[in-house]
Order: sequence, then structure tokens, then C-alpha cells
Amino acid sequence: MQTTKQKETSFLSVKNLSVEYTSDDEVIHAVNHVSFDLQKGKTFGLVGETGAGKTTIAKAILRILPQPPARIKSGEIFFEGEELLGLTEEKMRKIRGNRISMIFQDPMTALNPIMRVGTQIAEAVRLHENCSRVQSVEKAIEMLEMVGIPGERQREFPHQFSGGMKQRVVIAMALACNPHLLLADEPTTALDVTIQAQVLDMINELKRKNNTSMIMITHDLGVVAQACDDVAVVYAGEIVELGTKEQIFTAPSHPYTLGLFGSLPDIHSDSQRLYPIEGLPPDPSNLPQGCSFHPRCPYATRACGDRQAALADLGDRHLCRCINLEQIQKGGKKP
Amino acid sequence: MGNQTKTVEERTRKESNFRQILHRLQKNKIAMTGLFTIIILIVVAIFAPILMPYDYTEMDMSNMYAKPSLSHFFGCDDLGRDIFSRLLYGARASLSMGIIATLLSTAIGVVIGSAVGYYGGWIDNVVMRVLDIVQAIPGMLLAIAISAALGSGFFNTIMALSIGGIPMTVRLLRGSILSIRNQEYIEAAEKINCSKPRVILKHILPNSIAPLIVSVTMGIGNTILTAASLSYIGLGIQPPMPEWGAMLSAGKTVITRYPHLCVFPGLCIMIVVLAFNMLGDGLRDALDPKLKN
Amino acid sequence: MGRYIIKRLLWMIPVVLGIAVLIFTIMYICPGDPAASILGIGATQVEIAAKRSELGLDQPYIVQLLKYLKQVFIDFDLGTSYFYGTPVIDGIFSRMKYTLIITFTCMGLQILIGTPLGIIAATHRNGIADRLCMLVALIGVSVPGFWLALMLVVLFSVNLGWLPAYGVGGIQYFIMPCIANCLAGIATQARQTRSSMLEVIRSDYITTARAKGMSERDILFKHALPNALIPIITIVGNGMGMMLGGAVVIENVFSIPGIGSYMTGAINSRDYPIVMGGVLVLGLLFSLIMLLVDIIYAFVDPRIKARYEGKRKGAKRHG
Repeated sequence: MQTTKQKETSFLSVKNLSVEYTSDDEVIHAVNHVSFDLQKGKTFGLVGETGAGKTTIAKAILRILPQPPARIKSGEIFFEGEELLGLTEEKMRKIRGNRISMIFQDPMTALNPIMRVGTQIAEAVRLHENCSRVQSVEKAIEMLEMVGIPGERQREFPHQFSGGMKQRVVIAMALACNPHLLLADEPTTALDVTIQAQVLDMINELKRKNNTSMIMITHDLGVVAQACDDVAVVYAGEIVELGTKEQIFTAPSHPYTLGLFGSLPDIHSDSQRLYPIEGLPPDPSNLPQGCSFHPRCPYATRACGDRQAALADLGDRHLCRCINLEQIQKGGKKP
Repeated sequence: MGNQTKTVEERTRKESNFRQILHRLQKNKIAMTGLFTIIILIVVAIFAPILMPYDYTEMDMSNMYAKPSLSHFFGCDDLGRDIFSRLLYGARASLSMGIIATLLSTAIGVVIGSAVGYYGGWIDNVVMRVLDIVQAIPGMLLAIAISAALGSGFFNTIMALSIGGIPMTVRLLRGSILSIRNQEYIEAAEKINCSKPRVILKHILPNSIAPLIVSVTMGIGNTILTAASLSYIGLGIQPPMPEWGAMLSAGKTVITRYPHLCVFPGLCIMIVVLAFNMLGDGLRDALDPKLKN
Repeated sequence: MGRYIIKRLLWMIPVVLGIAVLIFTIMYICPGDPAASILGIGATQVEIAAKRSELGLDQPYIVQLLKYLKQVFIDFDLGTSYFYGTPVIDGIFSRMKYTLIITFTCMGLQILIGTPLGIIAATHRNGIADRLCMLVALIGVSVPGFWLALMLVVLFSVNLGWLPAYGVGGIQYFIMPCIANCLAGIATQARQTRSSMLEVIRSDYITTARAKGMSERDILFKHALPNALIPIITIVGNGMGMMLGGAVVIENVFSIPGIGSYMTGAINSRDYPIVMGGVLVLGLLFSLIMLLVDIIYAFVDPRIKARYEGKRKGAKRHG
């Protein structure tokens, strides 16, 4: 579908990515035919419940999926012109931490507990830049200051930092080599609400300053509102809706997206109850026939169980994967 | 997603967990071999008097030190007694000492560990310090000391063997309780009228049963080894009662000329301990929650 | 750091006293009459009674206990052998060196052979190397050391004539005893190292290291191994305990004049002072080793150090 011209301008282009895990003779379809593009300097949000496959997508881009249980079944990932899945491991290592970095969800366990914080950051620097040990430590101090941690603390160990500060260290380490793309996997989920805001602001600020592109994985629509430009809603390893933040927030179309917004408490209304989405996420080793969401969908019709819809363009490149869109829009939004 | 659905989920998850565990265990060939061997050994031990071709005290001086043959599968010892029969009967001593001593020390350890974990406070401190002291003496040496003090014999040896295993079980239970207390404590505070001990007990048991089972299985193997060592150095169980370790000791003096007196008893010890260790390993792998992912 | 060492040293005192109390109590409840044992068969009731009050055996438990503690820790007297009449402590110290030679050699072998085996098994998980190592290790922890010793004697002394079956002298006298004693330790070390490595390899910080672009080899040596080996330090310490216990039996097999054979000889003659004295000394030795282990642990693991360090300016958690 994309012309060669589009491919060149696209900073990151994921095409038809499918990943499966095999464990104990069970096959788990973690990611199913996911495609999206990311423009340079923008933040792309991947929204969905835990277990929807978002982290797998990010790890696949960085190629740090554990290859025995995991297997990239199909797909191509174009990054700045190079196809990542075809690169040798050696070439990929030069990209990791350097042009593409990742920060993970749980700061408490993301750092080596017996290595000084500064050493860990300096290690990242020395891996990709030709500099002396002293220089790399100086850079580490610089990075720590940039995330708001006094430089002297580089000699300290991870347990001497609180959760929020640890996450800042992780961010400092990820940004040390000035990556073009930052993969942020729920970077604020494990933090207190007050700290969340601080860290998010900091990430945005740094991203703006260095023109870093970002993929933000989250299950929190508030984070999406604050940080993302474009959004993809992921369910059971598939993208069910894709568009700009404004499009998703003002005109959510897919029943799942509607359910996500519907389960948010409305500060203006006087409602007594929350409206969670009925049912449970599907078992990834045994996905429903047809549309993965249809067992829980209040708008489901018989046809939904027969075949999976393709992504339809609602106009202005707002995509949605549902065969009943017109009916839903006619019948009003909230059930 | 009300509370009702959650507990139904939890219950079905627990049941399928149990089946998953059994399934995983069954797939482990080594563990199954161990289990099978243990079952055979237990049967042999129970039916030894029927299975023995000769009585274990029956002496036949004309057959002193006889080499293995069709009439005496493993040969005869220094008093012409059939080694095979003595080995079969000796299985009783080893297996029963191992199992009883381990179960005893586990039971005592569970009681002490639960009390200490639940009440905490100064009792916790005192008991842990006492355990530190008991564990400061290596297990084998402690068993030697107690066994030397009490003398040889079946029950004395069980006493000596069980003391060493208590500290480990206490720590296991105590650890389980402490980790649960930190989590459920808040909920328990809300359900104050639901008697705390019962709530805690209902949650501790599922959590600590898995490591306990593994600990008991490996413990039996170790205890049998220690028992044999005790008998070897003259404590434990001594002749005329056949005990594999004691038989090794008796055979030692003539090992240069008649090695068969030593080979077979030692082989028996090894097979039994190996079987328990195989099963214990398999249980530990099957019960490992991390493998569920 | 210093604070931690001092605290740990102070804790040794009650432990050492506790060991002595424990040993004394075991001896106290021991059936049989020391006085009768010393005087031998044929002693009259009167003589025995007199001996009992001479030895202070008719006094209450606490008094005897305190006498014993004073005897051990102030007079350095572990009692007198019923059989030989010589001071137990002399017997022990003259034999100490052989026991220590065997124990420390076995420890060295355990660390040098067991650890790499465990690492190889962990890094080739479920591969052939792993299965083979673990099978051998499984057998290793199940083999009775003294039986292995006897089998080695049959093979290498009787059949091949390469190594001496008993006694002491040059290295050749210690080869078989050490092999027999350390096999279980090597096996345990391999198993524990493997499982510690496997747990570390699963950690999040390893994924972080990979995401930084580190090679697998660098990850193994710079991040995985250092973390995996810390809990192994405790395993090594406990291994010493196993070695000490095992040495007692092994010395018997090879007639090595160490503390072990001193004790096993005494068992047959019901010479309790020797048995208890031996257990006490070895127990104290083991406590010393565990003290060393704890201190090394504190040096190596920064989390332990921190718990005992005072408040450092600005180092405490901020939001």
C-alpha cells in the first residue's frame, strides 16, 4: 500500500508484524498482523489492557524477545531505511541503546543491584561511543543532572534511590547515547500518581529538546492525553483502532475503545457506578473466531464471529477494525 | 467483575493449577523413575519377611564370605548370612528411619515455625537465636553427638536424626508466614471479626505446602544417608539388625579379599537416596510457579 | 561496615556459649554413668558414689553447666578421656591438622569444579551439557561418601595398586579421601550455582543490559555472574559444614589420624568426653567459618553494607 516515497519519509514503519510464543505445546498468538507508522519527532501511543501484546511489539522492534519461546512469525520493521528483522545480531547490537532505546515498566528491578548507578550509565555510553572511562563517567553525571539527580550520586547503588528516582536513572541510561527512537513501556505505571506526572513531564521535555521519537506503551488514557500525538488501540495482539490523539478522543469508534472511555469516571456527571467492559480478555492461546473482541462486545452481530474485519478508513487516516461501524454510530455512543 | 466471580475464578484456577502440577510431574521421566523406585522399595520393605529367601539371622559358617551365586544372589557375609536377605530386611530400617525422622522434624518445625511467625515479638527473636545455635553445629556432627549420648537403637537414632532438620523447617514456615502477613494483614485488619488465625492459616498452607513437600522429599533422602553414616561409625543401628551402613562397616575389614560385602549395601543406599532426590527435583520443578509463564 | 563486623563479632559470643551449653546438655542427658565408666567394671557402689561426688556429678544441672563453661572457656580444658586418661584437648589439637587439610582441600575442589559446572549447565539450559552435568550432580549428592571411599580403595589400592589405602604421608595419601569427601559438595555446588544463575538470568536488569546493546558474553560476566555468585557464598559456607561432618567418617575409612577418627574410635569405647569435645571444637570452627562468610557477604553485597551504615547526607530517599 505504501509507495516507496512514503517508506523513505517514514521514520519507523512496522508492517504486518506477528509474534507467537510456544510453551508446553501451546501456541500463544501474542501479536497479530500489526502495522503502523511513526513520524520523526512524534510520540506514538500503544494503548490496551495488560497482556494485549504491546510490550511484545516493542521488544520485537528492539529484537530482545527471548527467541526460544518467542518467534517472530512474520513482518518487517523499517527503521530509518533499514529493515531491522533482517539485520545480523552484531549490527542490531549497535542499534540497541544507541539509536533505539527502551525503558521498562518496573524500575525496582530494572537496575543491577550490585553495580553503581553511574557505572551502569557509563557502560551504556562506552558501548556505543569511543571514549575513555573517565569521559563516560562524566557523561553519566551529565545525564543524571539532566534528569534532576545530583551528579555526585552516581557513586550510589540502586537501593539507595526511591522508585521514582530509579526510573529517572533508567531514563538517563536510555537517553545517554541520544537515541532517535525511545520505546517507553509503561514508564509511570509502577510509580505514585504525583511522581507519575513529574516523570511524564520530564520525558516529554527531554523528548522535545532532542527531537526524540517515542513509542509510549500504556493502559492509562490520561497518559495518552498528556504525552501522545498518535494512538493505536491494541486488543488481543491486534490494532483495532488507529488515529491521532484528537481523533481517538473526540470520535472513538471501535467498541473496545468506546468501552475504555466509557469505563472512565466522568468528573462532571453524577454517576454512582463505573461501567467496566463486561467479560475478560481472551486467552491468547485460544483466540475467538472472527473478531477477537466480539464475545464482550455489546454491539456484536452474528457476522462478527465469522470473520475478522480489515482496518477501515473513517476519513483522514483514522482507521478502525469493525464491521458494524455505521450501526454503532447511528445508535449513539454509550451503551 | 464482582467479588463472587473473582473467587470462582480463583477456585477454578487453583484446581487447574493442581492438575497442571500433576501433569508436569508426570511428564518428568526422571521424577517418575524415582517415584516408581520408591514405591517398589516401600513394597519390598513391607513384604521383606516374605520376600527373603533366607532368614536374615540364619548363619551358615560353611558359606562364610561366599561370593555371589544363584543360591545367594549377593553372596554371604562374615557369619555366612545371606546378604540379599539382609539387604531386603535392611530396607525396613533405612526407609522407616528416614521417613519417620523427616516427618517428625517437619511436624515439629511446622508447629514452631507457625507459632513463631504468627506471634512474632520476643518469642520470634529468642527462638531464632536458639535455632542459630543449633545450626552452628553441622548436621552430621549434631546427629553424632546426640546419637552417641542416647546410644544405638531404632528410636534413639530417630531422635538424633530429627533434631537437625527442625531449624530448616521452622525458617521455611516462618518465611511463608511473614510474607503472607505483610500482604494479607491489611485485609485481615478489615475483617477483624473473621478470626485472624484461621484466615492466616487458610492462606499460609497453600503457599508453604509446595516448598514443604520438596523439603520433606529431599530430607528423607538426606536422612537415610545420615542414618547409614551413623550406623557405619558404630552408632545408629547395629548388628544383628541389618542396616546398610552397619553392613558396610562390617565388610570394611575384609574389603581387599571380599569386596562384595561392601559393594551391594552401598549400592542400595545410593539407589534409595537417588530415587528420593530424583522425585524431589521433579516436585520442585513441577511446583515452581515461575515455570507457569 | 565496621559497625557490621563488630555487631557480627559480638553475636559470636552467645553462639559460642550456646554451642557449649547445647553440647553439655546432650552429655548431661546421656544415660550411663561417667564415674562407672572411668572406674571400670568391678568397681563397687561405694567407690562409684565417691567418684561421682569427686567429679561433682551429684550437683544440680546449672552448677555443673557453669563449671563446664568455666572449664572450657577459661581453663581451655575439654575434659579427660575415660579410656586413655589424657586431656581431650591435647588429643584434638594434635590431630587437627589432618582434618583441616582434608576439609580445606575439599572446599577448594568444591569451588573450583562445582561452580564452573553450574555456570555451564545454566548457560546451556536444557541442552546436552546441562542435562549431563545435572545427572552427574544428582548422582553425586546421592552417593554415600564412605561407600565411594571404599569403592575407590578397591579399585585404586587393591586392583591397580596406584594409591595407598590408609595412613598419612605425601599427597598420594590424601587423593582418595578428598575425592570421596568432596563429590557431594561439588555436586551441590553445581546444582546451587545453576539455579542461582537461572534465576539471575531471568531478571529485569539482564533485559535492560541487553536493551543497551551488550553482547551476551559481557552480560554473563559483568552482570549475571556477580549477582549469581553472591548467594553461593553462603552455600560454600554451609558446604564447609558438610565437609567437616563427612571428614569424620572418611578419616575412619582411610585410618587418617584426624579429629574424626579420634571421635569414631571413642564412640566404640563410650568415651564421651572425646566425642563431645570433638563436636564442640568442630562446631566452633564451623561458626568461625560462617562468621567469615557473613563478613565476606557484607563486603560483596552493597545492600548489606548499606543496612549498617549510618545516615549519609543526602543519600536518603527523595521523592
